[in-house]
Amino acid sequence: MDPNEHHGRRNLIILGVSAISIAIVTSVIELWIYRSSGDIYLDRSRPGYLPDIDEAKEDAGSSSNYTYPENGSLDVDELQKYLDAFKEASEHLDKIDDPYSPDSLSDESLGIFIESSENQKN
Amino acid sequence: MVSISRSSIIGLAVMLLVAVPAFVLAYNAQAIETAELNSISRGCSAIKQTLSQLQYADLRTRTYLGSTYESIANNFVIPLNLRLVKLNQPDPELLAIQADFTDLQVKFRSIYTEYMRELDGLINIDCSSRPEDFYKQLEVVRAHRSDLHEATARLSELVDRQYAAVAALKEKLSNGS
Repeated sequence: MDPNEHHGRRNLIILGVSAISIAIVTSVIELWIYRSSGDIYLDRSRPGYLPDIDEAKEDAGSSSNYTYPENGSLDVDELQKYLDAFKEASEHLDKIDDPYSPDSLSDESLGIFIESSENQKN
Repeated sequence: MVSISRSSIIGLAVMLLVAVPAFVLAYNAQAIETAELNSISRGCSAIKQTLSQLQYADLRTRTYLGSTYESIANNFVIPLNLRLVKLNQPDPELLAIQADFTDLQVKFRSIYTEYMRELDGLINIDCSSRPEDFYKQLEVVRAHRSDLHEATARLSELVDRQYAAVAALKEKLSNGS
């Protein structure tokens, strides 16, 4: 084999391995940054991510198509429509009773029980 | 001499009255803490399962609330203020609500991210062998959850304020016309 051809083949292999190694290292760094910045938690909780289509629809929150137009004069009837649509949209918030209540992480909820002293003596 | 010995006895009695209950309380606190740690060690897998279910429920709650807050901000709060500004009739109360609402939305996202990160950390601790570390981390997660709870409560208050402010604006318009 021609020595030049041998070196060329070797260099090509080195180039390929280096490119793959760099890609792996940068991907690992990128994933570490993605996880440590907290963006992963936001992405996992955006509508459309949920695996089940029914879950995604149910969890889409407000499904109102109403948007108050930015242009136009101020009108009592229009403000009344605004209030009606706003009430409907805000009622979505009431569907979740006391979100992120501390009770869900209480000792009782987690099943962390304290035995009474009589049981401990037995 | 008699008064000194009497006052010494009284002083000693007062010290005992204070020290003994304090000692009993401290002993009980330690006993309770040990009992809790034992309970965590024994029920580790069940506790972790509960936490995983809670994590998923919290994720869905955040999806639901997040999209509702976005809808309220983009379809109601901001457009109304834009129109009022264009008509040269800005409402200070509505502008203040918009500013607070936007700030709180950002804060909600930030607190949620931290909460989820700490909750992930909690679930990854082996509570059967490290119950103390688990409980310390649990306290951290509880604090973050409390912040999240407060943020959602404040956002809800702002929504009510927005409704009241627009109703007042409508009333002012109808009285003026």
